[in-house]
Amino acid sequence: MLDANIKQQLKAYMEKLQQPIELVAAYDDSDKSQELRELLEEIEPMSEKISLRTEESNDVRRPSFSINRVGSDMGVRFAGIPMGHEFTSLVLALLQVGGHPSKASQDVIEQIQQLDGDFEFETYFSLSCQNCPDVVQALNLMSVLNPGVRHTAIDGALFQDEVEKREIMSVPSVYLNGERGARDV
Amino acid sequence: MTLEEIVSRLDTKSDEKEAEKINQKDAFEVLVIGGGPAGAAAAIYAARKGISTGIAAERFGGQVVDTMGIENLISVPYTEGPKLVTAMEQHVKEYDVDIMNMQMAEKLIPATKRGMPHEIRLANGASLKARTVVLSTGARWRPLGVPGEVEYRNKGVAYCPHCDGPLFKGKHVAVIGGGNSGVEAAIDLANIVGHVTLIEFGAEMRADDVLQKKLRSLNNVDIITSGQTTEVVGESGRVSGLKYTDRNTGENHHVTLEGVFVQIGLVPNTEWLKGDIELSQQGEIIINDRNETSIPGVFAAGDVTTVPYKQIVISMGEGSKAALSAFDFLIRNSVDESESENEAA
Ligand SMILES: Cc1cc2nc3c(=O)[nH]c(=O)nc-3n(C[C@H](O)[C@H](O)[C@H](O)COP(=O)(O)OP(=O)(O)OC[C@H]3O[C@@H](n4cnc5c(N)ncnc54)[C@H](O)[C@@H]3O)c2cc1C
Repeated sequence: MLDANIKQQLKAYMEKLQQPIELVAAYDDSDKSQELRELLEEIEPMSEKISLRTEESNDVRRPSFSINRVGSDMGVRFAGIPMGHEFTSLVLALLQVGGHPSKASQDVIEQIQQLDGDFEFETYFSLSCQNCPDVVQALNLMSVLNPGVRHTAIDGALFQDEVEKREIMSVPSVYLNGERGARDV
Repeated sequence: MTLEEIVSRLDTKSDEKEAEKINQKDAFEVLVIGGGPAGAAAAIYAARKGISTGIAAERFGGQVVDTMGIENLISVPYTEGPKLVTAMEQHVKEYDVDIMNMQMAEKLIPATKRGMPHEIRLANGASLKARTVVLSTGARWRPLGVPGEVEYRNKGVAYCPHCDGPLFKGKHVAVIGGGNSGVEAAIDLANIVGHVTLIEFGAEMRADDVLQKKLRSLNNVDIITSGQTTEVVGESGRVSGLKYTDRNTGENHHVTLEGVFVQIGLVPNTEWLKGDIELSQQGEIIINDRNETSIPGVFAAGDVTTVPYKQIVISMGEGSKAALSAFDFLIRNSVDESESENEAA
């Protein structure tokens, strides 16, 4: 899945992990699941702080995987394969779940930590969308910082049924607790 | 959508904290509502007079945030919206201006007595007070309200022909609206694009005769009257066509094209002012040549007003004028605080 060059770069990043992280994967028997399996199996050996197991729950999209700090549930999940423009989001999510500090300002970090309530986000992205990563990365970071925030980033191209049912015509589209959020601020 | 914007939307508590902070502020001498070119100019002109100045805006930058290329800001041959917004903000920050971003004004409560402070209620429940107010809440394009319009906004659906027209060089576009702005847009566009289809809802175009004549003389323009646009259709993320119904026959038609320019007018952001200040039939704040409104001490500038021609340079000029008028008002109505308080008591 990853070419030698990218692999090496990613490995260098994975050395910055401060805490053990766990990739929990949900596969089905599709080709895309096979691709995801390959990707995750390439990432796992990059650091001894990374472990990989399969998901028990039937309640998740397939293929998908969550990234967790071992012993806690961070609520960061990708449904689909975060390559293309989302590859950076994957790298950042691995790092931030692994305790690597984000570049956000201290003010915003505190504000996120103090958010009160349960926020379940779903973002539909496409691999060629240039302004999707900002949103995906923001919501992932919020999930890492606040246990009340959870986020699934979904590749719309892979989950066509949902996209049709929810009538999603543009990306990124963000849902909060099942409701569509206004796209432009 | 940035991290900050997402967080501030969720953080209702920060709203409360913010509201508390705002409530404790002293009355401003000039309070500007709206942070587009008009508001930014007004704030700078007021602050340069050395009077206490605040600016409250729902979104600093206004319509300029959404603009791509800008080629008619005199002395700046080319810039882009977001760049101009950053420059405007930096310029405002050169001065002692209290910038209150992401604050939505909900009500204006005029002073009961000339020279006394007006009150502005904000959506977060807080109130601001000011001896003079400059209203510069701008305008937004009136939307068509048909399926596809929102999805393909900036992907073929456009609202500003002289801004975005050049992006459609050689292509087929539609102009919706046969009023002056629609017909002018169609004439303008016909020079640039390959073909223009103008769709007017009524049985006849409403534009001035000279404009209509000019339009009819162009050989790459079709005019459809009694046409009700029903949908903007797209393919792989961009506009690919438009559907309309012929209101005479009830027949549905599809036109294959790459761009749709919606020209059915602007809506001034004055809903929150209705009943408190004199508005024109179109909902614009009525001003005179000194930017005075129907309320003494309340001025208005830019796209939100009856000023003809809505442009960035014009809004900047108007904002500057409004601030100077506000300053003039303050000098002429300087009241001794203690005296007026005694009177009020
Ligand atoms: C796509 C596009 C392209 C354009 N291209 C050009 C161009 O190339 N050249 C040119 O000269 N002009 C252009 N224009 C027009 C130009 O942008 C406007 O004339 C100008 O921005 C008007 O400035 P303004 O300050 O009056 O209002 P706006 O820019 O509309 O700013 C209004 C401000 O008020 C705020 N606001 C609104 N309601 C409230 C409220 N209730 N409480 C608090 N704040 C509120 C808004 O958030 C905003 O900060 C373009 C416009 C658009 C939409």
